[in-house]
Amino acid sequence: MNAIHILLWVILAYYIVLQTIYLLLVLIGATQVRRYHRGITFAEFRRIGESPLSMPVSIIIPCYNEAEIIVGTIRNALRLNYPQYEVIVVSDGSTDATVGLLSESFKMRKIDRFGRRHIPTKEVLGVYESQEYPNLVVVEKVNGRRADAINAAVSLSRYPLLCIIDADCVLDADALLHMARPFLRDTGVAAVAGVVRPSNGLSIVDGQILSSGLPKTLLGMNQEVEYARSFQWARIGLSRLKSMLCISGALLLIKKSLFEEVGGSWPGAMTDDIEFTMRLNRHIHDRRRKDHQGLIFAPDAVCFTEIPEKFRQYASQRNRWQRGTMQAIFRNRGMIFNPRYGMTGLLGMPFFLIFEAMAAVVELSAWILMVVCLVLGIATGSEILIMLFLAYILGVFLSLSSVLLTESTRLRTASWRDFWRLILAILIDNLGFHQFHLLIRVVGTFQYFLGRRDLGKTMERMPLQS
Amino acid sequence: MNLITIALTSAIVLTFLSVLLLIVIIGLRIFTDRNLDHESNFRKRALPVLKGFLAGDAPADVTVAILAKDPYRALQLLMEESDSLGEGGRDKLRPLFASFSVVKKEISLLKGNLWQNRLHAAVRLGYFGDDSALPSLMTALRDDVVAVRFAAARSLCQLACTEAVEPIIRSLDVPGEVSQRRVAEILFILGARANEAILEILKSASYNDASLSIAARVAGLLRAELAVPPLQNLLTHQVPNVRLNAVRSLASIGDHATIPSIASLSGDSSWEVRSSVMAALGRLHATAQIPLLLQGLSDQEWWVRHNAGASLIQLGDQGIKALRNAVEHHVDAYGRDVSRQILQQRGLLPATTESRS
Repeated sequence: MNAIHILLWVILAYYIVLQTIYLLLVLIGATQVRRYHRGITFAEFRRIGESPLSMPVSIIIPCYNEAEIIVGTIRNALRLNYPQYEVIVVSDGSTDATVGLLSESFKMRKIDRFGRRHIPTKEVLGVYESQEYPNLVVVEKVNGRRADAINAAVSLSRYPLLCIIDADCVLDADALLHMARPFLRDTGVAAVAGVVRPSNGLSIVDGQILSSGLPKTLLGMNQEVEYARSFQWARIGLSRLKSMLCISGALLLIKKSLFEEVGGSWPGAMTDDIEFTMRLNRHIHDRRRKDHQGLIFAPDAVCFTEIPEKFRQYASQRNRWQRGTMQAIFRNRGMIFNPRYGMTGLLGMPFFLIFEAMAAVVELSAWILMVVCLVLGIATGSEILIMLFLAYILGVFLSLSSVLLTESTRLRTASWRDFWRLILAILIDNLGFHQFHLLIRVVGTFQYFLGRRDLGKTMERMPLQS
Repeated sequence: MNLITIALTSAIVLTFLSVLLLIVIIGLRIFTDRNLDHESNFRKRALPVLKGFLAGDAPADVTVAILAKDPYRALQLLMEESDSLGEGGRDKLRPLFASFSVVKKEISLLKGNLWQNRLHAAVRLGYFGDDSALPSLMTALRDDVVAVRFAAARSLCQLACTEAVEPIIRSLDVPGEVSQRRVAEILFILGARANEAILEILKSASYNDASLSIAARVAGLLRAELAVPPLQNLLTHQVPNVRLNAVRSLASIGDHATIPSIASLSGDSSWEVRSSVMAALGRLHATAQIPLLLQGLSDQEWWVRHNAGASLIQLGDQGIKALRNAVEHHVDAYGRDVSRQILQQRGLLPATTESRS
């Protein structure tokens, strides 16, 4: 057996293990979603919403040059069904009209507000309070990246739970109720993650979701499939296995005391959410805190976020995500295969490294190997086609599984037209888009090793939400 | 069998499974659509009749006949209506609930092996208004699953079972502020009927600190004046959470005679207790305690400083004057900051710089 054959078998074994884990996650995800929904009692969320004893929440929205969309995001946050919460918007050194626009839209006035500064941040230039909405505060500070903005808001926050969302996020009206529920049921819950879906295609007026829909472009549809797979079964399955190492920055609810104990978000991170989740897991295990047991995934707490529908923006975003994933893993490399970190160290971290961070490089190697095999006559064209078809149909099967899990929830596609568009997107996902994504990730991996640490280009916003 | 044959076979099997999955998804979608339509139509038909029944316009047999077309949804509808009517109107729905004869079935589910079934049965039994469910619900207070115990407790309170107060507190004295809040909220459903049992618990020395915290909180929610003496005794309890709940409850009850004993905790080792003392002094309009509140403005914890400032505002002119004075002359920089902040929030002091608007 020569080197090419050995390599072929290694890649095949990698692929079989990866797909087996995915299938396992589908099964775990399906049972967990069912278990979750069966545990919800009659009028439970209404009671949380009406109870004066529900834990109050500080919603934190960091933003940088988001004048196009920020007003809509805030209006949406101010409409949530929850008994007591405040909204803290942090303009992280915005150079556009963000702060002026907010002052105009919400009648802001400057106040002196101070808080305990557990985490050092860049200088806060001013704190503004709305005269129309007493629970809205705007913070203006020197630019220090998203993580620094979050840390500054935490210092000024008043409530025991922090909900961190992105500036382009639109929350489902009951999202906070669904995310707060695990904290009320179990005092050991450390943080709760929710479902993130693309907002492109929704009809949003004045921060209120009027109707649902899917993105218009093929690239958008491709990401719709990707988000469904990631959030419908992957996260919930990983959460069950205590291996959820990426709580999306678009929707996180966490105990303030724990956020401060961990040291807040790291401003040097390219993807602060992944890095923070890993550090949070590490902290929970290091401290062996019995009262902080873990991270929960709430499959019915939904947040919609804007996805890029132009290839250049998509490439820039995914490139940063790949570099950020690599950075987060290497920063927390001490957890990999370390029994001290339980399932997180023995399963979650290795899975993240081998099957998430390195997946693109392995898959590219497989493509190259196929060509080599074809050229050297080790494999025939029809044999290569069979292998490619197997990979294709496995992808289709996994994506269809996520649709099956979605169809019985309120996240189901609104119309038959949308349903068939989604099925079509699944069928063509592996016919070019997946390979394009693969290339971006490979480039990102190499750029990470070459030392690239910038955040890439900021995304152009579609002002549909204001 | 070589690798390619395995791959081909796997691909064919997966193709077949994918097609099957797609068919299942389409079937599920059609089923869900029909289900939603059916629910919508049922509600459109049943809700006006139910409203008519409650207003005395529709006879019970006609209402039952319409509801019986879909018993599962009818029960959901009746439970929703029961919640919206509150305790006063709930009795009107009893004959409708009784017509479904589901109590025995629910009791048997409550004794079953599946915790989800026990949970939902415990919730539903609270709505039916049938006292025959009480023994089973009392037994459910010893369930292994906390959620089932909570549901059973709520149902017992909905059924006005005052004998359940003590067992509820004993079965749900799980540690943690939030759990204790939930229990207190459930017992509050009983209203003044819970007073006697709560007083017994507050007076007894045989309960643990979680039970005492819950009882103290319920006494506050119910504004039980008779609970003042035992609550005052709890101000010296060794567990901070008990002291905290005693202070809060005394403030809720509003007996001015308790002000000195509450104020004596202003130097408590727990910042949560100090914070609640500051808030309580405001609620009780303790104008004589202004010096103490001014002292609280320089506490090391932000919440204590904030509550001290907010309480000064609640005291009216005297407190506001003292707070204005503190902006300039308080000995502590934190005290000056929080005073300015509180006054600005209430619109009583202009911002240090001009508003952007």
